[in-house]
Amino acid sequence: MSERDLKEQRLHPSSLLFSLLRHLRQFIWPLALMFFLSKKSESWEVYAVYAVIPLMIFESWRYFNLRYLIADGELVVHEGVIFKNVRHVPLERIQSIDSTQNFLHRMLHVAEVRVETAGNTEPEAKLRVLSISARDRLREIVFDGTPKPSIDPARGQNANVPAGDSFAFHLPATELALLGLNPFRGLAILGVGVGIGGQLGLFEMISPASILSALGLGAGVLQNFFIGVASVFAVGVAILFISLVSTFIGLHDFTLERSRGEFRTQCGLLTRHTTTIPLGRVQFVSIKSNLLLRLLKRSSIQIETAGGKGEAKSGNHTQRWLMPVVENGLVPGLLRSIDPNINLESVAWQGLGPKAGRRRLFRAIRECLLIAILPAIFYSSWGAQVLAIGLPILVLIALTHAHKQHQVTAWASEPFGVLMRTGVLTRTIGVALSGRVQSVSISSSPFDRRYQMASLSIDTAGAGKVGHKINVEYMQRDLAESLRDHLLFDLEAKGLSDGLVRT
Amino acid sequence: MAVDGDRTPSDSPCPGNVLADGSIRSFPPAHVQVDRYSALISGGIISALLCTIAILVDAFGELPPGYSWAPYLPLGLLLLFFALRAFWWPQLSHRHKSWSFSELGIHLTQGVIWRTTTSVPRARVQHTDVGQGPLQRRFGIATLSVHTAGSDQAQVDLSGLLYDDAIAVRDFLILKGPTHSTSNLDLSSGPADIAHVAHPAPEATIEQPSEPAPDE
Repeated sequence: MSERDLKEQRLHPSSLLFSLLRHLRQFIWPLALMFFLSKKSESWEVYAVYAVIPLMIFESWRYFNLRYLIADGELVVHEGVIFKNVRHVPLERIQSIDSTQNFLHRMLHVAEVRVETAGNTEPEAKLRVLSISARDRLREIVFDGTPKPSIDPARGQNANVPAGDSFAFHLPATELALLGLNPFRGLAILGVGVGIGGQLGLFEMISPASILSALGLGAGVLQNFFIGVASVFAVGVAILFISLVSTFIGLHDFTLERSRGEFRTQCGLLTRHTTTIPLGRVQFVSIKSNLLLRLLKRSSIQIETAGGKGEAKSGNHTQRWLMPVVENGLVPGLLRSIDPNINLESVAWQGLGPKAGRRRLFRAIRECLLIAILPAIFYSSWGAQVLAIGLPILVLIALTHAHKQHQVTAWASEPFGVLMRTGVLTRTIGVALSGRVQSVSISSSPFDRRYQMASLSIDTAGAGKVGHKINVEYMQRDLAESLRDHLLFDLEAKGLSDGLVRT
Repeated sequence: MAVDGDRTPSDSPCPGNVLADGSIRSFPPAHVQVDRYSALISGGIISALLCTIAILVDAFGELPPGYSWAPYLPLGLLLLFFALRAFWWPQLSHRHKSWSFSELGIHLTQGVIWRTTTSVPRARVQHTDVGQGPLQRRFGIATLSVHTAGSDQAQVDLSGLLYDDAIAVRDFLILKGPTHSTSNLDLSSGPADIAHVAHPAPEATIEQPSEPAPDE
């Protein structure tokens, strides 16, 4: 039995409790609904509840039946009651091991553990729940075989990170507040809340008229105006507040550690998320900073691995933060800890040329006119006024935005990867690390062809739902083609690893 | 492609090498036929359904006087759309569809209005499928699906290749890729070794009957 073997393990005994709780949670809404809706006890729905109980017992049994072990460089997971399933996961294919602890988990010193490989949208193994010591042991064995940070022999001598290059960052609450002061974030959460509220029929009793009458206010243009301003202000404050609170809860006590060739992050006030990502598995890096963060000279860094493609990327926990907020001065060092070759200062950014700028301006004008058509058609008398005042302002804003966007948008091809810079308000630099390219597409619309342009998009295994991809529009066609050929040639001739398997 | 000039295909019995010259190839004309027939079949089924509905509406629906043509107008437009889809579109899309295959990877160009060229590096091919529908079998063509570990373009379908070409390309990809560091296979020893592995070991072979089966 070698050092990297692990005898057969069961889940923590409290797993039974947690699987029961999970099923109870699934049925809690139907149960509650039945309780309120069924006045007569003989209604068939109530009997249906009894059918649920054997299912719960069966499911609990299933979770309790799960066993795992590590032998011959493979994680072997046995599960199933009637249909037995044995899953072999080669250790070198494991992309990350994440764990989640809610309040109850923390009281019992256990955690839900997800083992992810590149292949599936679902985690390769969900171990619910393991004791903390069992989780740490699993992690240690799986990632201990990581060749010490020399990530990729094919990439030459530069790939070596100095030994003992470990560090730990802790994010203070004041920094977190900067991240939380983001109206878009609050809006997104509010949107979800409104959606749920609408589903539950909360808004049927609330209408603008009923609010006004409740406040003892009747009609009156001035009053309505003030109420409008006040409510917009109130909603704005509420949105910011929601955003702040959600950020604090999700990212409370964020720590980033790097040791022995892996990143480990922890965060969360109520539910604590822990992520372990081996170096060399990082597919894509995004450096973002919104207006506020830019004023305060700060950025946030996110990384993407190949695992967990099916996970919703909306919450705090599923986004893989390297650092949610960090001073710009520390960014180069953090990036170098991902790959020592990354050096954003020396990047030779390539703009898109004046023709692309003109096309962006024309597109902005086109879009403005499209927006203006509706009021012009439907409110003929009002339409003229709206157009007279609104359209010039709209066009001015759109043109400024397009111009700024053109100035910001740039791409670069460096030895460490392909980069793209976008965003007027939220500035984003995306880095597809070298060797991580899975496929390259060049598309052209009829307009593109007229101007001999094309858009180039690069697919990586870590291209997430939003933002985490390289997609350059209005690129000169011959340039796009030569970049593509260069990328393909690099992959084939240099044999760059895509970081999905440890080599 | 400009970059593959200094690389020559290595010697291998696989006919995929012959195809891997980087030249742009159009899809076989049979692909147009298959596209046309499948459009005719699906269009025919939908049209038949809609015809029935239109006739029923005409017969039993209470249309305002003078509007008995109303159900047939959308039907006529749809029929026109299906006819164009079946008789005009396949050729048009075929004209703008091409593929090429070089040492560096597979390129697929398609699209009439928005044209896209997707390139999959050979080293990034995870696995391939060759599939044939009934119509495709009839015309001897096939769909080669190339799977990568990517996210948006995890699967690239080359539908309408000649079956033999699809098999040759597939064999070439399987025998030689994935290359370099991503592979545990010893590429220097050539494809013969892999073929050896693919066959069952002698002790695993099924026991041969020592005497002929008795006749009934």
